This record gives sequence, C-alpha cells and structure tokens, in this order.
Amino acid sequence: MAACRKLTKEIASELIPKIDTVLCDCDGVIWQGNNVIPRTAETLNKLRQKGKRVFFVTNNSTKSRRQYLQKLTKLGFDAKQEEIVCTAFAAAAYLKHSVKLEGKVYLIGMEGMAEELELMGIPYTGIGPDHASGYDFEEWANLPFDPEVKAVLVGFDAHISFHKLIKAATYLNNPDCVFVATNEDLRYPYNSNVIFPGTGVIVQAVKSAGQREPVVLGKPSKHLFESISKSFSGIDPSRTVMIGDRLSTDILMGRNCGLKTLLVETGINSGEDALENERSDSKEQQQLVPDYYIPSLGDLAEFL
Amino acid sequence: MAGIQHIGVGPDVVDRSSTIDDWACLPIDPEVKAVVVGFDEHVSYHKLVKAATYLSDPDCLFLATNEDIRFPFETKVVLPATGLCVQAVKEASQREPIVLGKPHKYMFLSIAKSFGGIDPKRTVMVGDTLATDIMLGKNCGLKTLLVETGLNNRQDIAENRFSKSAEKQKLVPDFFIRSIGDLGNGVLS
Repeated sequence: MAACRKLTKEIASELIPKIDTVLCDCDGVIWQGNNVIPRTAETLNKLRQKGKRVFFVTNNSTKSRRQYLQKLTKLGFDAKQEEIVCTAFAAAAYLKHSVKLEGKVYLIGMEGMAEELELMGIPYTGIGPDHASGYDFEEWANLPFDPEVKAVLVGFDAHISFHKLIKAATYLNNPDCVFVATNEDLRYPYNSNVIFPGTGVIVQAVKSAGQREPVVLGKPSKHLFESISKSFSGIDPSRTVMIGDRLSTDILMGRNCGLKTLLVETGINSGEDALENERSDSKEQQQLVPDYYIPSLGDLAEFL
Repeated sequence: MAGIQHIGVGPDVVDRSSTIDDWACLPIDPEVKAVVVGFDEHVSYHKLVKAATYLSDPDCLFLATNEDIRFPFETKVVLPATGLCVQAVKEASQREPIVLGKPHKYMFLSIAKSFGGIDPKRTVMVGDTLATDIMLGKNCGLKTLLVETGLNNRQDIAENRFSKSAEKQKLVPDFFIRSIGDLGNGVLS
C-alpha cells in the first residue's frame, strides 16, 4: 500500500478527478457538538459542484435521519434525507429487511432510534429512565417482561441503568432473541476536560450483562457502506473516499471496503497517530492508516 | 469507618431534557484522588462520565472490589453483578483497576498478614464458584472444596478437567461436596 501522505493542493488535484462519491463522517469532521467547523460546508458544496455525490455517514445513534437533516440545514449544509446514513436508521432497516423481525424490540437508546423504529413500523419498549429504587432483590426478581420482545437493540442511552441491564440480559438469555448494536465508539469527542464515554461503553455493559456478542452495524463494520451501495447504483469503491476523524472506525471501514481514505485532525486522531501506526510492527495497527490526512476538511476548500 | 472521605454514593440521575452541554458542566471535585467501584444499583451515565474524568488523571487510583459476572441466585431474571459495574468503568476510563476480591490474592494475603500462623498448606477455601473461590485457593496454594449449593457443580468440574484450555484445567478443586451442611451432619459428627 502507498504511504500515508499529507493532502496538499498538488495531491488533491490528482485525487479529486478520481473520486465520484464522498462519504463524510460528521462528529469531529464537519462539526464539534453544535459548532460547525469552518469552511467544511464550502468544501462539500464545491465537491458537489464538481459532480461528486455526498453521503453523511455517522455512527452517532442519538438522532434520526430527519433530526440530522434539521441539524445539517441549520448549520448551513446542503443535504437531502437519503444522503444521511446514520446508525439509528441502519438499525431499523436491518431489523425490518435483514432480520425480518416479527415482534417487539427492547430498545436501549434515545428518541432518534425510537423514531426510526416507528417509521419502519417496528414496535418497541423500554425507552427512557428506568431507575432502581434501592438494593432490592424482590424488585429485581419481579421486573415486568414483555413476551413479545424478540430483539434487543442497543445504541447510546443517557438513561442506562441497572434495571435496563437486568431486562436486556434476561431477554438475551433466550438464544433466539436477536442482539444488535449501533456502534462501539468508546469516547464521544467533545472539547472539554470532562470525558464522555461513548456508545461502546453502553454496548459493552449489555454484552457483559448478557454474556453475548451483538451484530454491530456501525463503522468499522462494512454494513453502512454496503447499505449505500445496495440502495444507490454506480457506487464504485475505488472511486469513493471516506473522510473521517477516527482511525479505528472511519478509516478502518474505508480500508475494509476498498475505499480511499482521508483523515482530518479536527476530531479524535491526528496525522501523527496515523504515521505512528504506519511505523508499527503490529499488523493490526498497520490497518489503521489512511491514504491521506489534512488538518481540517475546511482546508480542502482552498484546493478545489 | 476508616476515616476516608467519599462522594458519589446513591442515585445520580440524568435529567430527561439534559444534553451534552449540561453534562460538560457536571461537578468534578478536585479533592478526589481515587475511584473505587463495587456493586452499584444506581450506576448511571453521569457516574460513568465522572469516573472517566477522574481517572483521566493517571495519578488517580483505580480500585475495584471484584469482578463476579452474575449473582448466584435462583431467579427467573438474569442478575448481573459487580463485574458489570467494574467493566463499565474500565471501558469508560480505558484503565485497569487493582481488583481486590477473589480470585486475586489480596484477601488471603490480608488475612495472613493480620493473623499469625496461617499456613496455606493447612488452609482450605470453601466456595461455590470455580472462577473466584477455587481460583483464589489455587492462586494462594490452599486446599479447595467446592459446594454445589450455589453457582457451580460437579458437571462444571468435569467440563474443566477435560477442557482443552489450560486456563479451565486450573479451575478444578481438590474436593467437592453437595453442601457444607453435609460436612456437619455426616463427617464431623
């Protein structure tokens, strides 16, 4: 594989004509929380003007496609709903079309996931707070269970609790109960001294409680890319670039799917992290190397 | 009782309408120098944020009581135990704790330190769980007796004895008995 290179104007002028499709991660690439990263909208607009298709591919399970469209529009991005590939939608589509689920979902997740399940016509239970009142085995031994639950779906849940973990573990004790997780990102990137555990921590808690492994849909799994190439014709992996801030999810998915990969430094990882991986003796680390890196997606606007 | 100040016990509930901007303002106490994790039925996202933030200081100590995965009670529900809370804080902080409970040696070593004349070869560990009780016994050179009134039984022993895994083969006690009560009735009378 060619060495990882910093994206310059010259390299960009060679690369861009070879690209038809742009997959763009969101957190740490085009925004940080609710703050848009400068000139990223301009970059994506210029890529569209050059005839490139743009998709927003995010592991963040807290919003539905409709909510992402609202956020994108509010922050000044051109977008259509079908260009948004988020794990809340992917999970509902997977349960409906791949699993062909007949029954309810026990949902550990937020309103965005509930909305996508509703739109797909899949009934669910469990969303929202579910607190233990105290150290009370009687209460735990008599928690209500719904016999119609045939799947446990886990995404980010700010209301994760011991009760929810008992329920998930008990549902998952039936080997026929399907177990799906949106993603396993361990940290949510946010500029503060406070550390935000990501969905991966919630998923690990359910894995640990249930002693089972889920099907994980989000990056680095190939699922999100495969769902795009199934739904849209003419997607050529060798003419597609994945732009992301995280080596272990965005870049790894890109490599797993035979895409070109571009790391931006406005989120989790830096070019230095990539170069360190390239120098590493570990075959695993060597997979976590993009083709290119650039300080910010906004810088690409200058080159276009 | 040991005169160590602590904060964090009890419910720490996430408000329905709160967002990440609110969680970024959660109170972080600069006097905290250690995070201790045991069983907590009030485990919550707030607590994981706080623990991960305290533990981002490499000088902050990280202790866990034990890592048992399930409570060994007969119920129709599956009851995850302390191991769940500890695993969640490990993942959230990306750090490994010092684990004090079985099968780690700490608890036997603290007995041996506090009481004179404890000879491991003349000590028996009696327990119901192969992975914690019996493992502790093996780790400390004790004799080991499994009782069948809790989590494991003789079938589990046989599975381990004939397992291909070297790790599992270690989890075979010297003796097993249906119940500790049988020892009182039959053998010691």
